[in-house]
Amino acid sequence: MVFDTLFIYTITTIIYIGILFFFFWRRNKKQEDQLNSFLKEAKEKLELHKKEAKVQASGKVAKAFELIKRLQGVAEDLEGQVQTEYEKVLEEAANQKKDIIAEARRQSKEILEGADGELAQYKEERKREIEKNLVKLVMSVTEKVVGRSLTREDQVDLIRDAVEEVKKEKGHL
Amino acid sequence: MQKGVEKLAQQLLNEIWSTTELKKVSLALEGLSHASGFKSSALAIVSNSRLSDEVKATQLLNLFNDIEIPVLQSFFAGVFSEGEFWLFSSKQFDYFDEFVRSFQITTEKLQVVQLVVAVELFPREQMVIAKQLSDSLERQVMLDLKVNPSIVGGAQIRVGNLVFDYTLRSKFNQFERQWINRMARTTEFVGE
Repeated sequence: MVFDTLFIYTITTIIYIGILFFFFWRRNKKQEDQLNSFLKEAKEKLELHKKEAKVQASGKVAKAFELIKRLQGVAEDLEGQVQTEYEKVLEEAANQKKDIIAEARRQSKEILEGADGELAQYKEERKREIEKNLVKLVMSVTEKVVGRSLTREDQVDLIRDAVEEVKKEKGHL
Repeated sequence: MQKGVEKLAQQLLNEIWSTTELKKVSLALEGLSHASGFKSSALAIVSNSRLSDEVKATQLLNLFNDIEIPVLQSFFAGVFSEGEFWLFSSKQFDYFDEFVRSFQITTEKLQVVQLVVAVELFPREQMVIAKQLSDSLERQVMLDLKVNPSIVGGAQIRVGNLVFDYTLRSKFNQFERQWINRMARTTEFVGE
């Protein structure tokens, strides 16, 4: 009897333990399912986010590439323009250089020709001045010689001639 | 008497040919006109009936001795030698003053001609020239004579604003200009 009672207690305890085990196992399993479900959901969300982020990143990268491409295009255009301008400036500078050299040559030629002309003119002027001075000298000597050689009678005759000339000019008086 | 005064003034002026002489005579007459001693002495001589005309003339001329202007002395010698003492004969009327005034007025009608010459001219030569010019200008001419040897010869005659340059200096200058001009033209034409 004791045995039976022990047995029954034992069986009952085992049953209780079994029931408790089942109860805890079931509860644990439920929680585990919930956790798995949460994890799965989170995983799916993560995947979704990852996909979206990837798409967005791809879009941004594409935009960045496009921007870079455009910038490269602008830079290339700018470089082309700068090159053109540079070549243009070089060409103009070369032309100006040519013009300046030509002008300098022309001017130097003119100066040389002018100097020749001025020299000739100076020579001519000096010559004329010398001739003029010579004439003045001759006239000065003549005056002195004539002045000395005139007698008083000659002087009086000249004065009378002058008075006679005034008589002829009577109409103007 | 008024006409006599003018006639006498003109006679005196006819003896003068240069402005220098005219100035001297004019100043001397002005001086005598204001000298009361001179006029009273002259009046005393003329009024003295005991003196003959010759003595009067001599004594009157003595009054002009202080004035060393030959033209004036010879003029009054001529006047007094003809017995004309009326210039100083009146006590009431000063004819001498009238004569001086008339002389000054007559000088204003003269034509002054400036004559620049190279040598000094004798009074006779001046007179001949002045007469010739007076004939030409139909007015009595008074010569303003200047001697400038630099004109070499001939004369420069200025009548009013007109200048007649008949000096040898101007002829030489003219000849010099012509010579230089012709030389320049020849150089232009022929070249160097």
